[in-house]
Amino acid sequence: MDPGSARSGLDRQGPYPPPPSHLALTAGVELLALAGVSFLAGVAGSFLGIGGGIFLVPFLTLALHLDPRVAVATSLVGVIATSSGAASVYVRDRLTNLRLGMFLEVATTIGAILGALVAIYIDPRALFLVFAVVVLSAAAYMARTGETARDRAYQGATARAAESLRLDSLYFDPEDRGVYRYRVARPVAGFAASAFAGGLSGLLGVGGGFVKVPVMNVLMRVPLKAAIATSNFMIGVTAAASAFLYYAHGFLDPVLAAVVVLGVLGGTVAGTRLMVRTRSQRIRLAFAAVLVVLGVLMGLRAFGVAVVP
Amino acid sequence: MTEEGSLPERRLRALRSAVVAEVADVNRLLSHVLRGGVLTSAVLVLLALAWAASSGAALPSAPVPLRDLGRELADMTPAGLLVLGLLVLILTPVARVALSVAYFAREKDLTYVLITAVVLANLLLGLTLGLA
Repeated sequence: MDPGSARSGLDRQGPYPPPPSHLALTAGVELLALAGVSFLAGVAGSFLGIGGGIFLVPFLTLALHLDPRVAVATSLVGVIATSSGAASVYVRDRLTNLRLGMFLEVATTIGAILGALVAIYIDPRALFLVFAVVVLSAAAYMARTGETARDRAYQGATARAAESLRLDSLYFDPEDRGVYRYRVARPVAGFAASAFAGGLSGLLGVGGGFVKVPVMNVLMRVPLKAAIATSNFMIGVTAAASAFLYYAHGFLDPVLAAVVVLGVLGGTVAGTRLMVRTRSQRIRLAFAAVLVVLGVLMGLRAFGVAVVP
Repeated sequence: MTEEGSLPERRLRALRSAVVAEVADVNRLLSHVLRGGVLTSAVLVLLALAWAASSGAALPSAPVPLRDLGRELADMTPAGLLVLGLLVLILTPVARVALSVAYFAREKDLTYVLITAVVLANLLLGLTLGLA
């Protein structure tokens, strides 16, 4: 008897379905595999600033046959673990641009609320198409352009808003042992794009990190590593609100979530170390590759083909 | 891997600490909050799993409702401990935002008091809308 399908067969309509699950031997293999996938999601999520839900949800639904809502609830807890675990390292090392993160959180949280409110009036297929186009063009841009030391120390004209919000920052890059002082370009456009990202993730259930990193890096000229660290810092906030709602509605399986948390936290220890040491150009290409996969999946969904339920 | 004391590593640490010293200290507060939340949660979850495994107690497949959590904890059950550990993790980012508000208020940085307070208000609004 496959315990995964037994779980998904549970009636989760009631507020708190009672059947207890034991850490039975039959479930051991699944839980071990889940811990391994969570570790990888933690590595990739903290390495790319995207949370890692894109790796967890397909595994939970396709391999463990869980109810999509239980899968999303479990994955959200994993995203929070990635975000907080990675952010505690990146914030300590001053890689995160805290003021920029807090400023853009205003946009993403407003976007998430608006997205949830207008969800019933919008055709999700159109949204999937928009998302696919945004993500694929960001991928093309990131794959085509590199990041030189001059790009990292962007010193273009200071925007008024960036100046009054003191968004400009500096970070230390172990890749070439340089201290880079950078300005943040187009704060207003970045704010609008982040609100859009927050709305999309509320509507489509796709983490906002896929849009936040390109918004900061491509639009606002924030160095890639600082953008990844800042995105990691931000995603925990919106995920926390959603995760709490899933908890309150009884969709969070504590045992699965516990395994995911432990796996992911181990993964962030490795992922954050890897990220600061890896050349920006390689991270850029890895990010573009994940964006292409995501863009293709979302594009297929726009035409009614759902690879992941 | 980090070799203690080799010249490049020493220079690397010096450069990093120069950057660290220049950026305001809200960084230190927030990294402590995040790490504290993550570690507390991980320890609680590990304890609960080890306890359940050794005592053979059943763990729930759905979360312990908030109103029952106090009773589960008072009864010292692994399930209560496990769910407490998960809640600590879920609430860590919210605590981080709330503490940022307090930090900027102490620094009399009104712009960022406003920004972080709006984020906190949005979070609470989202929760209220979602629970309704």
